[in-house]
Amino acid sequence: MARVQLQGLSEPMFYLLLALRTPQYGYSIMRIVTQISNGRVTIGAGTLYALLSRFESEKIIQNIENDGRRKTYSLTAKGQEILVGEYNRLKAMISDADNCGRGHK
Amino acid sequence: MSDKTTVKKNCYIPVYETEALANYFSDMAQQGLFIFELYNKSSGYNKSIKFVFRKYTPRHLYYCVDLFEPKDIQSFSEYLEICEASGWKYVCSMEGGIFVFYSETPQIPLQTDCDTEAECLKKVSRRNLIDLVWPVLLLLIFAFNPLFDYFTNPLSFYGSDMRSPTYPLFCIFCLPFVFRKIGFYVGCQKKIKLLHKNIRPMDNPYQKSIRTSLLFKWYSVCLVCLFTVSSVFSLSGLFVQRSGHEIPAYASKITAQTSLDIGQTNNDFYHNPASVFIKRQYELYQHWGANEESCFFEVEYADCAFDFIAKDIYNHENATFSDGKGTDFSTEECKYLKITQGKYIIRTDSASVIILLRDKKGFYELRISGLSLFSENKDRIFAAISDRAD
Repeated sequence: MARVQLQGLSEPMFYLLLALRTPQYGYSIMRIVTQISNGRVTIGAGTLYALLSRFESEKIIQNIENDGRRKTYSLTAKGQEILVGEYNRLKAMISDADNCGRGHK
Repeated sequence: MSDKTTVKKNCYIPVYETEALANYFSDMAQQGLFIFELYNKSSGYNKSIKFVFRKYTPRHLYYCVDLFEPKDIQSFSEYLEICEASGWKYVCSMEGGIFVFYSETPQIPLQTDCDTEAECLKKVSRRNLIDLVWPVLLLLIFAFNPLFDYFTNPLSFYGSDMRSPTYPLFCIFCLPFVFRKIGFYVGCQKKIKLLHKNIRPMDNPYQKSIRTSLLFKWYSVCLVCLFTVSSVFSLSGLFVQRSGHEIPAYASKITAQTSLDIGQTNNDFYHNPASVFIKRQYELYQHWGANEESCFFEVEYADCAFDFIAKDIYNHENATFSDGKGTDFSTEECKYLKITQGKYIIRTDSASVIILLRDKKGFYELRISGLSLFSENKDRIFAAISDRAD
């Protein structure tokens, strides 16, 4: 529902891509997401794995290192583009909300 | 697995209720039973899953159940690595993608995003439907093929040996299977709807699921018993009340290995020239039309015609019976011959009554001779049939 409402990435998706600006492996992504969101957003292991699989199949992220049990992922060019696009969209929304708020004042 | 340290229990909680399952495992652990293994005899999410518990000292543990289908062994390893790194310890899994983890301290649940969880459930639900298609299609074809004959070609239908076992087989295998699958699908869809509304009952009590499942299971069992019993009674039909006497049907005494001119097996019946002739005649007279020589009665009117014929036979000292194999028909019972309901077709001509009988082994013809029955009773029989038809 969140994805439909945002017409883009859901919150866990956005934070996952944000965490993957630098190459990361599974558990480190979970920690970084919690860290950058100040504990507001947590991603469960099942959710994380499902999102990683989906993003990888859609070529939004890529596997750059594989030691058998642990895979390291990074954003692809397409992933970068999606992340920047989402960032701009959110920024525009906040800007619009700010302008709207000022108008009311 | 059958030693005293392990306990097996049936799974009465649908696997899409992952929170309920986790709570159930947690409660069992507090009773000293720790989930150790999941297994089922066949593939699928809702077929006879059993839990194997091991007995240890009771303690409080947190469980988490996740539905996940690994693509390969590497994805399985990676999934486990992520789950274990996040604090969940792997307990067991089952082919078909049910994973059970535990932790001694509260951890972040494995599924934190309702959208992602709904996607997983959609896959499960879809797979469940795919599982349903082929077996049900085959069973339906098997069940309705002979019934289809009933509407297009009644005579062939009554010659079909497939008819008798169809109903119990259909009821025993098909109905509960379909009910269970549909129940599972509906449950999945309900949960998906809840997830789309961002509602996930974390403390989902499992008792309700167990009650519903048991109710559903016993409903299926009752249905199966009911249909089986009714089918058995319908098949046996060996004792029929007629004229105040309970008379064993003669079909039980006739092995039907021989006949006058009608083949025994279905194939014979369909291809035997005599049966082709009879079939053609039946088609001609299927609206109980008649000429001076002979007449066929439709099955639905045969009972009525039989009343007259039986009375006539009963009072007719010269009547002789023949089934082509020397069966003794001189007893009184045969004069009230009645085979299972609606499974005979009567043809009369000026000299005899020919009753097309069917028992469990096939078709055969019984000829009752020495009568001038048709010519004497034709008008009365038709009048009675007309009354009944009206």
